[in-house]
Amino acid sequence: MTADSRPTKLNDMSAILEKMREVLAKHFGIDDSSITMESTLESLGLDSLAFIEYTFELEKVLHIVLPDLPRDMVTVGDLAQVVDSEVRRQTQGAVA
Amino acid sequence: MQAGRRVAVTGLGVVSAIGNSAPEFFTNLASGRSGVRPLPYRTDTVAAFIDFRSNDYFTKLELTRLDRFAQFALVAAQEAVRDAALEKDFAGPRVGVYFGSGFGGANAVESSYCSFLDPAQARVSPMTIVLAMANAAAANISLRYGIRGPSLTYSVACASAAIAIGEAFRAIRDGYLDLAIAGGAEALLTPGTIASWNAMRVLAAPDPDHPEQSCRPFSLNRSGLVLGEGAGVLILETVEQAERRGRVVTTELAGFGLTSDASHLTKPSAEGPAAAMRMALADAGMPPSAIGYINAHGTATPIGDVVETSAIKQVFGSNAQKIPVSSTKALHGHLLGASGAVEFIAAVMALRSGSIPPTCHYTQLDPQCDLDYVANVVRTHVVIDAVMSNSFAFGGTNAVLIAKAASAA
Repeated sequence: MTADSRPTKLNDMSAILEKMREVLAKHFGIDDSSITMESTLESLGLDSLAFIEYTFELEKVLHIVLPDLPRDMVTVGDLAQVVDSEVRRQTQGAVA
Repeated sequence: MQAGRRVAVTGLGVVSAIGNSAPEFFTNLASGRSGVRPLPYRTDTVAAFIDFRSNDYFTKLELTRLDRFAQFALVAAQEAVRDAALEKDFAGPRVGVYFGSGFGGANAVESSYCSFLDPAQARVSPMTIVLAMANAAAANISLRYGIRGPSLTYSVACASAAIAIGEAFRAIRDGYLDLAIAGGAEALLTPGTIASWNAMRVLAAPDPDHPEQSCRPFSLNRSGLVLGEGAGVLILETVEQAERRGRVVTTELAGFGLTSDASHLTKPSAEGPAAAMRMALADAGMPPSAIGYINAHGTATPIGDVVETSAIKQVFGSNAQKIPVSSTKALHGHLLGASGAVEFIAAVMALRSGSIPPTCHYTQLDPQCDLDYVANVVRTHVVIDAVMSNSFAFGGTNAVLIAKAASAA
């Protein structure tokens, strides 16, 4: 059983951030434990297209569908807020 | 002969199934090492595919925005830039990228269709368009090196790269540019495209005992072309600038000929290619007797090789039988939109080394193909003043390039 398929209780933002870090590392090779909620997406090397791809990957990994996201998202935290609320709404906080 | 500035070839780069550098590529051409193998996902078809380790060259983030054909292009461009010993800040407004590709980012297109048609997958990659566009390779080269002059892509099927090189040559000779990164890239070995090629019935039947020998140009038992993939890149610049940079110029691009058959979409004519060869010779200001080696288009289709032989005889007359003609496609396959670049590089390296790469897997004389095809064994210690490289495309376009030793008049 891989880390990805183990049921995880995503009941706090640190667990969400961890998942977001995982996808960054696995899909984009951006492996940096110093990524925080304040890190800007731009500083990670994600331009607008890479950002969309990032959200698609998060949808796949977290089994959620994200709504149309505002174009002015700047930080990892901005995205994490939306991901967190969608996880709660769509999976009751537990994702496979 | 067209007046204008002299154009030097000062850098070479190759990515191919028989080597990911120009020297390795040429060594394998000379020794007859074939890159043709059965496709892993379709063993009824052979192709010259590359075990390309993308992660050795690019980060994961870079790979999300580079289709396989653009990866090949960047790796070959890097080798050519190094080979030419270009300084870090070589790029400027009078530098351009002239590139060729028949299909561009075919892998991105196909995987987007797969996602689109799979009900389990909701999304198509947002990168699909920028990965797939035909000019993605040229664009990524200009991005990487900060090239602010023209960044162009010619998509003319199997003549794409030859035309890109020829047009870059004209732009430099005519004073519009001082330096160009020119060449082509193709990565078309996708399952859907292979099925399309098979449906067209132009691919070689795999040799059951020796699949690596399935492509047999000019041999009577040839049965069709074998697809390849890869990239070839040249640095072209004015002789004056190259010498000012302290480079010893050994090779000049001397002539370019370009014609169309206007007769059939796929069936070649002898007249169109012959006219292109004559035009290239006139452009170079050379008599046919100056040519010491022809790298043929030589796809190994039953008709194509006969027609090219006939065209060469039309142009070279009684001298035709004396000129070594070889098709290196037997080893690296048909690189389609990139073939004109890797084969012109093979011709340039033959010119420089005096070694003529053979036509491999040649076993049976075809009475309709009666030239000197340098059968199976490299010919060394040949004094060559000038070489010709032929590229003929579906659609009827014919492109011919001539290079000469810089010491030759």
